Amino acid sequence: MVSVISNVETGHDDMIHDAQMDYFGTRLATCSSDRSVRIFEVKGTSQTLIADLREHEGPVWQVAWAHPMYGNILASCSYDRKVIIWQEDGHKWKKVHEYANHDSSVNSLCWAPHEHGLILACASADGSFSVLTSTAHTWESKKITSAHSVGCNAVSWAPAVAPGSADGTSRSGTAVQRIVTGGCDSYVKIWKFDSATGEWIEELKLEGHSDWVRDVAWAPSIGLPRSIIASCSQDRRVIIWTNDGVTGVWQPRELNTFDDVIWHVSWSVTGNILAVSGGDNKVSLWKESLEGQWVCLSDSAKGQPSSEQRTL
Amino acid sequence: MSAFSKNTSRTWSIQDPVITNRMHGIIGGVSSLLVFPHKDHYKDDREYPSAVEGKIKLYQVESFSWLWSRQARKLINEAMGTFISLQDAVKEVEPDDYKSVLVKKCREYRSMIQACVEDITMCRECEGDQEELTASGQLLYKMELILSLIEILFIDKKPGGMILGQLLMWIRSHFTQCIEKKNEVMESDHPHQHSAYWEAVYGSVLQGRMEDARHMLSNHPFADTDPFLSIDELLRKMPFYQVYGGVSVAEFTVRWQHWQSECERRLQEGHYSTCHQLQTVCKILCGDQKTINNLIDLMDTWYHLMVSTLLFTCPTVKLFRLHSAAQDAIACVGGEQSTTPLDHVLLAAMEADILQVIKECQQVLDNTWFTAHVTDLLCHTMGQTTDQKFLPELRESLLLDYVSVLVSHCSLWQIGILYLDHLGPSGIAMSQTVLQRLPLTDDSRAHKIIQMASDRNFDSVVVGVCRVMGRRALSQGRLGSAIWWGVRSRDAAFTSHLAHQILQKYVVEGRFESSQLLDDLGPAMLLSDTLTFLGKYREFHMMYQDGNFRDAAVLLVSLISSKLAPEYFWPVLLLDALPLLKSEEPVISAEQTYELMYCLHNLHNHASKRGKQSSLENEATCSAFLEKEIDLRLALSNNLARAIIHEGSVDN
Amino acid sequence: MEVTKKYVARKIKTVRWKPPTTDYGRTDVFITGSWDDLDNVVEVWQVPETEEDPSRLHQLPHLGSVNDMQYITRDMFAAGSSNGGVKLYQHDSSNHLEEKMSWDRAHTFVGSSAPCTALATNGDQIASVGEDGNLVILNPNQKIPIRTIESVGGCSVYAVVYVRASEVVTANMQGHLKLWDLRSAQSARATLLSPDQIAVCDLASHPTQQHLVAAGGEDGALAIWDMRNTSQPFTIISAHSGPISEVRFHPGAPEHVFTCGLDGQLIHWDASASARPTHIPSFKNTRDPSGGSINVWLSSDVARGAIETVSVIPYSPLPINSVDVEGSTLIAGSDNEAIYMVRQVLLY
Repeated sequence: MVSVISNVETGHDDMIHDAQMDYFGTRLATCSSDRSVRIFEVKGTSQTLIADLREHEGPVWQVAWAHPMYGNILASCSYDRKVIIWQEDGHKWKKVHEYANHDSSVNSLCWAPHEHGLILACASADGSFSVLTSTAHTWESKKITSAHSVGCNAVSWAPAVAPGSADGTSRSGTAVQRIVTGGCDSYVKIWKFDSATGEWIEELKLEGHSDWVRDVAWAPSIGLPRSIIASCSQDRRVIIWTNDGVTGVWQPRELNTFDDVIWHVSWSVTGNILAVSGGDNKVSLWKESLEGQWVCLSDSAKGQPSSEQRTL
Repeated sequence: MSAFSKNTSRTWSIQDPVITNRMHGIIGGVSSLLVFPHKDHYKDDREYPSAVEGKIKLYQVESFSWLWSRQARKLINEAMGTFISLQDAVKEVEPDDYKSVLVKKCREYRSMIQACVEDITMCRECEGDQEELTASGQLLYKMELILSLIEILFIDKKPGGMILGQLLMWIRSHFTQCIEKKNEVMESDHPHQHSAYWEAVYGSVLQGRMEDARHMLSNHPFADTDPFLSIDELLRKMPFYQVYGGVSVAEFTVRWQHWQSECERRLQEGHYSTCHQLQTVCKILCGDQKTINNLIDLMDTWYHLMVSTLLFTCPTVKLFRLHSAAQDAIACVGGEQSTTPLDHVLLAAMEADILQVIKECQQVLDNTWFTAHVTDLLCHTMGQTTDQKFLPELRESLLLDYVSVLVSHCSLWQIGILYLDHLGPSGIAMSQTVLQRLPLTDDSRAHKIIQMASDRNFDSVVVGVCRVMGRRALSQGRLGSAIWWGVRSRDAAFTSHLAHQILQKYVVEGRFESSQLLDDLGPAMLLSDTLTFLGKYREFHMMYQDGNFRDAAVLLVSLISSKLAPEYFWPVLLLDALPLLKSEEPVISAEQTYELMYCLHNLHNHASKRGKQSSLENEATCSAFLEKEIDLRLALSNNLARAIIHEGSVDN
Repeated sequence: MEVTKKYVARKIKTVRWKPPTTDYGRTDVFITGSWDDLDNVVEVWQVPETEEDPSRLHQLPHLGSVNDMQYITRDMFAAGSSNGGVKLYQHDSSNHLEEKMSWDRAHTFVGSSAPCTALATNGDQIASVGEDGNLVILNPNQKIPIRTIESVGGCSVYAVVYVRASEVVTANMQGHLKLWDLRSAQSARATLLSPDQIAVCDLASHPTQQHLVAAGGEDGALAIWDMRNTSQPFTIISAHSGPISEVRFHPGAPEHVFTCGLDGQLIHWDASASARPTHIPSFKNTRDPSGGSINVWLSSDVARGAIETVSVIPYSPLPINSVDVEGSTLIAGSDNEAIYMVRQVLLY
């Protein structure tokens, strides 16, 4: 397999915490310890800077793009306890909303599937997570406190499509909203929105990790009835939770035990490849084989001469 | 620094001191990996400085497949046609007739590959990266070799299980050195003195090309001598099994054995003692293993050796025996350790182990085109047999992998979508995801994506694309396009929003910028109330301009009373009513005047309630309105009086 | 009728025959423009006398997709790009291409470029339309456009044709056709309408009868317009099951029209059977050079939709983007990365 590696000089002054491509892969947003968020226009293998946003007062942990049908909207969260929502107007990026209702660093954020509307969830080190919903003129927020003790590290939305159905509706006719969070209490929790009460309810608590859960990611729907969540933890393991859509039970399966803490897991858009990266200085790609095993496709490692050569 | 790493292993390295010990990666876009230097935020949330030397770079790693090269593009496009016609044919045709369809499709794939090879040969003369072209050429050769063997062993199985004839054809078409040698030899002045003369003869015999061998031998000056005539007779009389020849296997075996014993007899009787080359030929005909093995240089590979050996030792060989024959041949050429991955594929095929064939193919070829299409062929071939249950799943998985490569290319996405139509629910889900994620670079691309989506009834995709295009048009100030996309998306909320934008612009500017598009909205008008109002309001304008005041008045009042109009627009409507109220003839009836007064009253109340909170536009309208308000009140009361009198007198 | 299909490793957006060197001569050279690729190209091809595939003579890189190409003179053509630019190329007798002039920002949105969607020429000037809704008139010798007619309403324009030396008709995404008199300073002389906001994707003008315009719509229907009666189209006939991408009158036999579309079909509309004069008065005041069967397209048969349509190429699952016909050979370009060539297209 041949790979093309291109690079962009981001111009950041400090380490990058997150980089996200927008929905179509035409824009790239990066955020850094230098408190800035930078946006690049991507054309093939070249990238040009189009915005440098500096409103945060601390390292910015994550950025996330909203669905383009709402316009060009980006959200960022930071150590300064704030979540800022930015929108492109003409060719300028402006801050359109700031949410500062958390008591400590906001660690992670994630936009809901566009079918639910323009909704953002963010998780904070104060142990709670918030859900911000855009209405006609403003943003309404709902804070769910005591989600995880000590701190809430990651949040991810379930795909809107009811698994197995092509039209995105559950039997009751509206798409069900679900969120998965991971926290310092080493639990992975699934929350469901109860439209009757208008509240978020803890639906399930998944135990499997023995240390802080650093990241959770709900896999995009691939047309099968089952759902998959990946979680990674300070305990150096990545666990794949699978719900077959029939029994309602989440089966854990350990992907691998790595050499160091795993910081981040992310799914490919088509939902069948998982990228895992952590302190072991490697990024590995995993895929489920036909037999149901998760196999490693490839690694990206720094500075090591490639040791496994395969000849044709 | 952009690096092309031809890395056959599965590890890539990124050399960058800044990224040392700090690498972090995230999947970005449909097919790339974003890698950048990262640091962990500690448990205690401290902020801590870091000394950074060098520039912070972000790396984008994308896989580049051979499938994206120009040579492969033709293969991909043509194969798509065959793939789809295969899927359709299999649905329509009776299972008994599958075989002819499958053989035909297999041969189409093979000829595509061959056409590709020819293109590369021609290309080499003009331009291109020679190394890459050579590699492509070799890859394609391997693909065709494997595919033709698969066709013989799995798809085009002849009744009776006799495969030697087909295998012989296979060898003949892939090993042409003996023909080339023969031509070279025969074109020279004295063929029999050519250094390659006897090699050419041996080569032809080993491939069962008896006519060629005889032709060459007849050119020898001693062609009329006994040994030559004798060998000529043997060569001429060698029986070849014809599947539909009408001769049964048993009868053929008898004939063949009879022929071979004649060969042995003549050899033993020393017919060829005068010419050791002829003796070698006869030994070959007798199936003398040692002789045949010694000629390995003419055959190059173990499979040629195997077929040649079988030709002269066991022409009625059946498929299940092939494996041991293969092993023997391999042993002769150096044993297991010298086998290549390609050899493994061929061996697996001879063992009739489909799964192994596919697995080995994945080792040999680094692209998914071959494995995907072959598995599809084999899946349909095996069809109903129960012992290959894994095949359908494997087929789906390999085809999905193939499609993933296609859709990450800016041009090949359409072909990917066409394949996904035949891959069940996973295909449908992926199709929707892919169509939604395609960058909408311009209108024509958007139209094509929408056409593909609506052909497949992916309404949500159509709506999604229209919304994005509409939103983009709006942000660029192109209201006409925005409305068109909004209407297309059937997105009432968005079209309302657009209609509001237009109305608000009117309030500020006093005219419609895009009046023409509003005149002909047609049924689209009904999509949202605000849009309906907009359309009706334009109708009012038209009526007024045409001088049709009475109807205009009726329309205006109905617009006001129906509450279709948004509140910020009421002042405009009332001001529009002013000239009608003041017109010579009473146009507005008493009833209607009451409506207008009611509206004015409400407006006044709301305005005073809102007090100081009005926005700039409202202020502007408000002040303009306030000036006219007195005028309006006067006109209203005058008209009321006039109307009552008029109506009263008409009644009378 | 023989159909050949040649795979060319790029999706073809536009195909155009090079005009013959003499008025009654034949041409065996055509150009193609590609789209949607990392590196798009304009290529020159030659059709051999024998049954073989066309061969490529020259290739030139092109920035952006080639949305339209039109020959202004026998050896100059203009190409409109998706990056908003229009370029002028010289196509000399050795079949070599050279860029002569470039109007880089012919079409723009606020702050970025807008795709050029179609070109037309009267032999002297080039008319270009784009997604910014503007009609831009270019003179091959001048860097600055002679005239830019701004759009009213901000809607993409998809097609343009010259109906007289100084009159053009444009068609936009809402299905409105507008007739512009370029000599006057004011805006459109007349607006013609297509119902229901169905986009018009391409226009073609009859080679000899200038008042006849054929419009291919997004609903797959072909509309015949008589510019003398602009309240509604003369007739609308459906044939395609998806948007039509191009419409072409056969230059030598205009009772034949060819359309191709996103549904993968290439249809030959044959109105020659209805070649009966419709009414005598028009015979007297017609200025048409072609006497005999005039107004074939305005006959009652055509109005009824009773016109023979034939599918020229076998079913293609991917869109056919462009078609051109000269003499008895037709060429078409498709998203299947292939060029179709159909010889003897008018005789079955």
